[in-house]
Amino acid sequence: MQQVELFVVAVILWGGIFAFLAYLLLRMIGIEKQLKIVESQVEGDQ
Amino acid sequence: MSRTRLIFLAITAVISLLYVYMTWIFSPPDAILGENVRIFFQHVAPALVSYGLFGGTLLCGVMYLWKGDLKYDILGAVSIKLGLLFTTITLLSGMMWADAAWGTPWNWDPRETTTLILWVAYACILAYRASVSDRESRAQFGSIFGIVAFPMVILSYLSIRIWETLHPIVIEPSGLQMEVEHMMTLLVAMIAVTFIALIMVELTYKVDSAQEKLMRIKMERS
Repeated sequence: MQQVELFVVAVILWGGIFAFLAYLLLRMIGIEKQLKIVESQVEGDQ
Repeated sequence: MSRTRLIFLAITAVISLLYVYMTWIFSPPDAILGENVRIFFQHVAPALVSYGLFGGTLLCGVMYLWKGDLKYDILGAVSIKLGLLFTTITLLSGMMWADAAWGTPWNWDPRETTTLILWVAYACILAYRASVSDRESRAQFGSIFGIVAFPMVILSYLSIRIWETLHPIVIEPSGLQMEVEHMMTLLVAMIAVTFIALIMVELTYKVDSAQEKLMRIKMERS
């Protein structure tokens, strides 16, 4: 394989990894917000 | 975001850029493999990191069975998920390398076969975990399976020494059998992939713990 072809494959591979990292980060922010809302609702109920 | 975390992220970003530079610019083509040697750095580092992650599953399994704390179970499951991700990268990059070096992507070589079995074994544990609704049995049996599956990691690592293989033996007791530039690139690759994996472990652990907490609150309320 040529260097350019290898580079394209590596970009797809590692691009996928970094896209997954970004997804995890966004998911973490989202779920922590959701958890805070639910926890404050529980406190409100009590 | 804490200061320590920001510094760690900055270091990871710098090392990742260095990894890209060393793989594609600094590292010279190999005398035999030519440009295909660049696949090597996308192959070995994820492979060793996946072994480390499965080792983490083993430790978490032991800790859960000993202490009974669910955080170890969550961390063990996270290690399996990410270990599988890195094993998938290892298998894919290995297939590319095999195609370039031996003319066919899959040869049923001992290392290929044992790594595939390893992948299937841990995928089965994840499938088991997803299928059991009782939290305690999921954690208990999940931990036991995580411990029982670990010898497969050792077998996969040692397979090229036990059986005849096409796979090159790079790590010898006398040191790494490769050029200095390739050795340096591999070292940087190892550090970069390890740091990326650690960030992933932390993020996935936080997401899974929060999800677990949310489910518990919802169940208590209903």
